[in-house]
Amino acid sequence: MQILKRAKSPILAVLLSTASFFAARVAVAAEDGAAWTGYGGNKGFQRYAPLQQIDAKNVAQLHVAWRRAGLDPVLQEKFLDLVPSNYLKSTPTLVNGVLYGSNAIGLVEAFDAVTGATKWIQKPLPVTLKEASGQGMRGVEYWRSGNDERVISLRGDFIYALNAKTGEAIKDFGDDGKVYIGIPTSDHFGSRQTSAPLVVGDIIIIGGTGGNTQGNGTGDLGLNKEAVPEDIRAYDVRNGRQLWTFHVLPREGERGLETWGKESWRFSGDMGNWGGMSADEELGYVYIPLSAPNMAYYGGHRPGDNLYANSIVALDAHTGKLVWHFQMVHHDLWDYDTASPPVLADVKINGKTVKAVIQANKVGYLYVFDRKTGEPVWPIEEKDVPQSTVPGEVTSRTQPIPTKLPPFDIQGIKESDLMDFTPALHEEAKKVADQYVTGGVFTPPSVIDPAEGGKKGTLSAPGVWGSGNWNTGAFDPDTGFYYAVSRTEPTVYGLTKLKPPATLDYSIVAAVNPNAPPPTPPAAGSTFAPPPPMINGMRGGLPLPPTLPSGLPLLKPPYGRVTAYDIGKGERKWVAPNGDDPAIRANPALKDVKLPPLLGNSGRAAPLLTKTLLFLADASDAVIGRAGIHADAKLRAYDKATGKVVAEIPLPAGATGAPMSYEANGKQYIVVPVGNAAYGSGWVAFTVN
Amino acid sequence: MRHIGFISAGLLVAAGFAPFASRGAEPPPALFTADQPAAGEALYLQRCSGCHNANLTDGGQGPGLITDGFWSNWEQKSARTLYGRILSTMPSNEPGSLLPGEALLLTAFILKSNGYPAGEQTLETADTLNPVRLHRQK
Repeated sequence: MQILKRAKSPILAVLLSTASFFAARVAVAAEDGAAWTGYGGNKGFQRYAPLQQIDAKNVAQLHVAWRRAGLDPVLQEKFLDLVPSNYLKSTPTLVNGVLYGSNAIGLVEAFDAVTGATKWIQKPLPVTLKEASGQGMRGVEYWRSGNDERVISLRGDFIYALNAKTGEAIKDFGDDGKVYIGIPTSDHFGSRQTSAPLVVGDIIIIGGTGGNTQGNGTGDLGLNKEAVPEDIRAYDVRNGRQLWTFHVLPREGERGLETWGKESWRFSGDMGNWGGMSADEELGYVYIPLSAPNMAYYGGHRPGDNLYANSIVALDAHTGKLVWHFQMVHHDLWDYDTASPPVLADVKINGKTVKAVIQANKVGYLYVFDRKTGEPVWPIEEKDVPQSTVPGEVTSRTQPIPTKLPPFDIQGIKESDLMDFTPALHEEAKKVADQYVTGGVFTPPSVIDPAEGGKKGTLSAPGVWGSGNWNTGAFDPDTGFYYAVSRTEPTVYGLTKLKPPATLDYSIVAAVNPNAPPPTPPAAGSTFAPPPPMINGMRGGLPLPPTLPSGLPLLKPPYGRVTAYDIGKGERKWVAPNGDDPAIRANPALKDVKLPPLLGNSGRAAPLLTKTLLFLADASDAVIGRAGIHADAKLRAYDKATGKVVAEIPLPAGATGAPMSYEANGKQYIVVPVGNAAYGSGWVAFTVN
Repeated sequence: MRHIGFISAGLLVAAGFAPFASRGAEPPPALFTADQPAAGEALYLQRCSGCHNANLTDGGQGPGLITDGFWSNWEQKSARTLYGRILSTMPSNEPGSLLPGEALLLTAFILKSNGYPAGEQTLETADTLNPVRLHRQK
């Protein structure tokens, strides 16, 4: 065991200066409950509203104050074929009584916080179906200098700057109000943005992915090792001029290049930021979690730790220079992105206030750092991990393991994790699990043995979709509690040897219809390109988790959970299932079986904290990334101290984004983006009398 | 014009596609010729399979397109709406990049993959899809 990073335990940081800018911001936020100034509530991404009008006594009386469609009907009436996705992602931003959100096609809408009535809607320019076609983003940013108020949003290959009062494009920003941010890729795919931009001072900072994710291309799903690094970029909020680029994969002469053996830095990529960012405006630092390298499941072509994949990087917002970094997973083989928003937390530890940043990841750990220095608040130890048997693979000998805070979801697969509703089901589950290599956390992928009785690869949890993800994490500055929301689902990391034209040696992509005839090439004269070649009967795509013969999950519940930590004490305080799963409950194999009152739902639910309560809504099955509730969704209020459900409020459809709260005209509101096939999509606002 | 698909379906049932009619449900319309879903599959494998999987069963980053989940969302919805969803939201990293003709081929491929038969009539315009309510065939 090697201890690389042993900090004083705990670090005794200087007392938070009450004169500090960030502290002032927090104090302002605490007094001004009217504001929810960005996707994550504030720049610290705490998902916290300092409001208490809605409390444990009256929360059951929450009623709908207004509803608003995810896309104003005007555009849909104009274009018959504009059929937006029901995955309305946007958590609105509230400033001065106006909510700003990214609608169901990714255009910004401004609406009244009290009534939900339209103030303005960003126009697609030109007004064509092609331009109107799009997908929503998770949020937008607001910026102000004097009377100059702007809404900054991402859509497709562009950053937009809009007049916050009128929705008109800011003509002197970039090219008539927009700046091209596409990353050139070999397959000419556009950049994909899902999160909001972050505005720090006068600087817009963006992440996003660079395309190249389709077909036999790269990304999480392809069969080739080549990809494009998804660099972090910054732009001037006033004119759209690009200010700096942070190379997520070091270039020649840059620190970290040595972590890419076999000159793999020349062709590797991905490592984008898609799960949110946060900033400490006093320090002038921005905190950016980065995802896995390409290809995530086999790295024989990229020996080394592969910086800055799977890391949190703290950058100087003004220069883009790296201040500190920490890599959570060396040489990733599991797609264990650091995907959750970094949450800023001023925490009292042993009587001293530590200015921390809390980072969750797909592995299910919380990593807590002094956000100025990057020193771990509690030791994070490099521990030996199992080594790969896959030809050509060189596993990292160790992985960093937090020593103080226990994980927030299961890790690896043990017999005690398997379905145990009845002894017979448990036996079934054991039979299924026995088909795979299993072990503890960081058990590496293995090659599928086609022999009878041979292992079908490695089965491990968390799987590729992670326990933690973009939805994980909220921090209560009053109590010092952090809430991790996670899902429990394994992945089969079973590798198959690939042959040219695949450039990757091994992949876990699902074997697809191996006996099916190849697709017919397009007819003569067609303008359509021929399909990419089949490779071992496979194309991009991930294998689904194994189930029992009845379709029941292999693992026992909860399938989704929320875990509360007292960060100051360094303790995990409680774990509660997050909602229920009616589809599992209705499985005929469970007839006459007594089930727990709540199974937990593995949809991606995002938390909202107020002064009084923790809120979590059932996630809709419209949310991409596995599972979710098809119907009968609820918004649940939890006791923050115990995890007990205080109230369940029916939602018209499952949540498709993170809820938020604010005060307007003396009333507290909670707004939830919702959507499903029956309802369509929209924002629904709740209040109490 | 809009009913041609149904007429074709009737002809196909007479020509041996009895399984679709034998369940007592309305026979599925033949909306496209055999080469259209084939061309649609070629396009699908390029532009869609990375998220939806090559066999349309949920690739993790996009929902399944022949699954229970698909039909819980699309049963009785208009086929034109499915076409519109493809045309105006897909691929998710480049919505608006598909041509209407490409979206038609993808619609044909998805319908074929869900048991809708090919016929004599080429699917030339999205208007043909207007009267068609989607119904699970298998």
